[in-house]
Amino acid sequence: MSERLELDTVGLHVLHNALANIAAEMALVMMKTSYSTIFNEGLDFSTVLLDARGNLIAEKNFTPSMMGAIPNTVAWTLEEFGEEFFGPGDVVVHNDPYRGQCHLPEHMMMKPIFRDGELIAFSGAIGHVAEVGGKAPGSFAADATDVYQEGLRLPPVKLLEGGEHVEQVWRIVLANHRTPTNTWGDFHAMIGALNVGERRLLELVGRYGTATVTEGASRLIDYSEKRLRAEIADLPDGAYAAEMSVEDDGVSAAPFTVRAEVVVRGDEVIADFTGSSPQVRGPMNCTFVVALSAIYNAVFCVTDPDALIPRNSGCYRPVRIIAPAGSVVNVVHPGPSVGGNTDLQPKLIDLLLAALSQAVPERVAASSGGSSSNLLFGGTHPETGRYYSNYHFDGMGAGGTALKDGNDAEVTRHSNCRNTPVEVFEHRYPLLTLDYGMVTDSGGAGRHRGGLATTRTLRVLAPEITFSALFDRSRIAPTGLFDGLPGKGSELLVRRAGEAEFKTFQEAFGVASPTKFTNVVLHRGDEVRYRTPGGGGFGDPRERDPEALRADLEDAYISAAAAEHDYRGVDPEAGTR
Amino acid sequence: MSGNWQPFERSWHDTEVVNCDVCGRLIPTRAWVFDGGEGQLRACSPECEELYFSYVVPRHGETPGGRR
Ligand SMILES: [Zn+2]
Repeated sequence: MSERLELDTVGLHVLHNALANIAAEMALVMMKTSYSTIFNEGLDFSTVLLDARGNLIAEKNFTPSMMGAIPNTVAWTLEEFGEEFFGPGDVVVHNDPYRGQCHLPEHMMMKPIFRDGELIAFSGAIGHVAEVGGKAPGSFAADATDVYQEGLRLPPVKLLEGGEHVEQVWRIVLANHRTPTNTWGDFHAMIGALNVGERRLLELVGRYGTATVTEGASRLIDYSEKRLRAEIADLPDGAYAAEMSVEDDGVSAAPFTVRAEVVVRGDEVIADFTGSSPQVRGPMNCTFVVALSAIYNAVFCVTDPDALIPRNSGCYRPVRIIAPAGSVVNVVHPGPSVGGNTDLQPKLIDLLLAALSQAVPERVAASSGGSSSNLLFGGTHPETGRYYSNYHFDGMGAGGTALKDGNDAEVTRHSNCRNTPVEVFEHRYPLLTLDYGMVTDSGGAGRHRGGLATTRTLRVLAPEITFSALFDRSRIAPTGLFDGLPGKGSELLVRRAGEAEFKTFQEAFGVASPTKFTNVVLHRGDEVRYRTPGGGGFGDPRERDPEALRADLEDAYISAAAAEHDYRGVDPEAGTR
Repeated sequence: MSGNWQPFERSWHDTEVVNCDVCGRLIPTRAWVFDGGEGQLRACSPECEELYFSYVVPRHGETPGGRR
């Protein structure tokens, strides 16, 4: 006998919180049980519940870049294979960028949840698996020219069937990832999260009844749609266009273009990317769902920045997209896409916000640093003799807004990830962190300045380490908005042991791009120093509050020379004499 | 809506992926096929036919389609 839950406003609120808490508990399982720092420190994953048709009903969305992929991977798998494909105890994995995934490292796992023989929901976990094979340790080949160089591609296949490991599939996966022990642990952390999601949802339907919970979830989706449509209807109707150049694709030195027109039409938004460059040869292409995540992100930023509307599939319905297949925002087979997710997506969000700045200038930000600043390395650990590999990212500057300065040292807003503490980093990998800090003068000047970039210097402690990197915005700096100045661009340098000077990787190794390269071999004593990009400034720097300028000078966020040059006419001592 | 659903005839070992001619979305098993004025277009849904005539044609003109 189940308890009665009235599906009125209060009852729906209770149900929403119950579902959201299940997703949050699933996330804790992944944090506490995963092997890789990208999960337990970086939090580069999301955990969700979906209904039987693949509609998102609740999430613990650490990583907004996964918004587009989550409902689509499940819905498309359902359409391609049918409901009969799924049985009790099954777990399906999916990382195919051409079938709804963000890029090859992103793995979506889905588990069907049955009650009395009826499929009632799915629990889902999606995360960036740190090593999935391919040409470069860390599976982030910045000069890849096709998907096969990026790692092992899995169309939807079962990892568990009826609760049992599908051994043949596991054997293929583990033979193709460089660090199979980590994959084993991380995959099981994801499966553990799915199991907890299943158990808790079954407890919930046991308490309130299947019909009440599924009907309530469906009403929550309708409620979110209605609320978001009302917010969009408040935006001024119109077509708002913006265009940007991206400096290179890792393979050729030529820049490419992304064009976006954001059309506000009553209570819906259309993001039209027609006119963007054809897909590029290197891995800076976005998949369809990444472009989708970018417009969701931009729309949520301007309509519901405090996430007061329950985040579920209802929020996605008023947002439409035109992302031409075969363009840089919708890669088709066999184009590579690993950097499209991490380094084009944040810039797509900036671009969409720049377009929307024409409609709602008070709700947008200037360009962020726009690069996840991906550093990958691997080799044999001298102390353990075991092969290791790591995917590392660092914070950059966020763009200034109408209300405040951009956040400093923040990992990109599409990823929302955390950095890895130096102590954890040094414990696991044979690299010594010589310095790590924020960069003076890296935030673009403005009434509200851009956030500061970070810098780090690493010394190799092993006989040999294989390094790869995918950074961006070294030559095309993050732009300011409304007379704000650009942020400082990124830089990657290397100093070989015994040499006096740092050089670019182009000078030292002859790579094609200064910020995107693969499999450079460094040796003991070599040092890598990098700087992420800073955020763009918002508004005229001459309008900056003198007190804020004085605080920046005291904190060495800006230098006296930059204060003199960029903030001419603002007296930092005003009011103190 | 002038279109109709047309399933793909594909075997499981065919790895081709088809994208919507209007929005770019993956079409897993069946397309909404309609006449876009300059040939047949394969869309992911009737909603994309609506988007095509209400937005794409007035904004960009007709999309050349295949004769499928
Ligand atoms: Zn479509």
